[in-house]
Amino acid sequence: MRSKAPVQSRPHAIEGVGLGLRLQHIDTILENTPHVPWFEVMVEDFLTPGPHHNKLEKLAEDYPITFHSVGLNVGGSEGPNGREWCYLKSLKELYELYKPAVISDHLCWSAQGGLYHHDLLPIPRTHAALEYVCERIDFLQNYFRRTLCLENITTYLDFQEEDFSELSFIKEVVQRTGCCLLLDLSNVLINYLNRDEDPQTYLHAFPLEQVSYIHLSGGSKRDGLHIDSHSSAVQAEDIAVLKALYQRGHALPALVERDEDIPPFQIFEDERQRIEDALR
Amino acid sequence: MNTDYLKSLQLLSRAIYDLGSSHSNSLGELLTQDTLPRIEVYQRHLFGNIYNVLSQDFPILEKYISYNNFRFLIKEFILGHHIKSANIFASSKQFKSFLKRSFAIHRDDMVPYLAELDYFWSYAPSHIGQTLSLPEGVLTLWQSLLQREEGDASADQNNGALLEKPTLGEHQQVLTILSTDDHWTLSLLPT
Repeated sequence: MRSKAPVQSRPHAIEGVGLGLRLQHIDTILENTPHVPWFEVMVEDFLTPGPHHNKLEKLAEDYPITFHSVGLNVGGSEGPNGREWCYLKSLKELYELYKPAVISDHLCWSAQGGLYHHDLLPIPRTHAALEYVCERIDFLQNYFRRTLCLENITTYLDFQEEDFSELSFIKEVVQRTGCCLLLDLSNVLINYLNRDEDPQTYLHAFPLEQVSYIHLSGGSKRDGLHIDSHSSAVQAEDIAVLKALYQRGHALPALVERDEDIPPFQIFEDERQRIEDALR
Repeated sequence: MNTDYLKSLQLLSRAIYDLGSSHSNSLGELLTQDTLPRIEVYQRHLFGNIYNVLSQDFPILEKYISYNNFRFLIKEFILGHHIKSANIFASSKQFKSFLKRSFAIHRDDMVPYLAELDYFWSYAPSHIGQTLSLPEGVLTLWQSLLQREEGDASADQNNGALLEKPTLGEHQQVLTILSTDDHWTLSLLPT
């Protein structure tokens, strides 16, 4: 019998369309206190000391926040170096200090045997992988004493041998570990665009009752392949799919992300506002 | 069973780390033939993510050796050293050490010192009250490059030679970081 992390129901502290906090915007936000319902904080931005911690403390007084990371390496193994412990310990301290509404990372691997990729790599969805990943999620949830929220990723590779579809793998992970999900709609659409298939079956079968919130971002295209680069405004198609989910009764909190070619805050906020308006 | 799973990740990991290689033989049994060439996407991501961090943390070094040479050094760093921390920003410390050990690659005794100073300044809040000793000449060059307009640096991809490079002095200069509120300054300590 697996030990499950303390039960945490879907947090209600966040609602509406939030923004991914980027460090270059933090002064503007603190100065102008814009009407953004909530912010998602990249935990990795706060692993080093500095005045940005004071700013985050202030921001957390004014807005609900969630924490998002990219290095938990849910599907991989650290290797013999023990460096992962420093990272996990830092994350735990930040979680305990700020008590974010949600802590999230990705259902993927990012390091193996001591080699770190700092990327979101696809898990070959075998029975062995499922067992391994669930054990690792159990470990992380028990270590943090929090329920993890895991995000679906884009994948550009397909494995020769797999025992599960992406959806059935996700459902098994949720059922076995009690983790929550972060549905990245843009990732789903990119995966299906690259396969030239219709995402509707996937989206209709996605376990939305386990979803804490939704990610939206704009990608790019290179050599005919759609890439999850977070480098442009959210596409109208993505907003339309989100609106369709809302119309089906799933008015989940959503979050706009941007990691490359980050515009000035007001442009980013205008984009968020347009999405919020479109969902009304 | 887990061993097989982790072995497959290891195979993929090594293939991604061999930046630029296709690996059609080693990965043929793991990946479908039509998606196998897309390993290049992950190779590009690995390089791009590390470049973004190092370019941000070593801006003066990049100006000094030029964009292309800087990218070359990063590629050598990734291929030879690998990224060994869950915190991507720790790569900067590893890169600084790599430059110190790899004179044979860059052949410029100024490179490790500029890297030291860039790192000291980029992580100023972590270095408040600490000191950094550098040969005379390094700070002068660093300041000249700092004051250069971006356009000047990009106008000539190999502009290092155009800049008057000071000779490294025999004497050491000692620098420290001073902090006031949320600002900090680089200060030269009297010798």
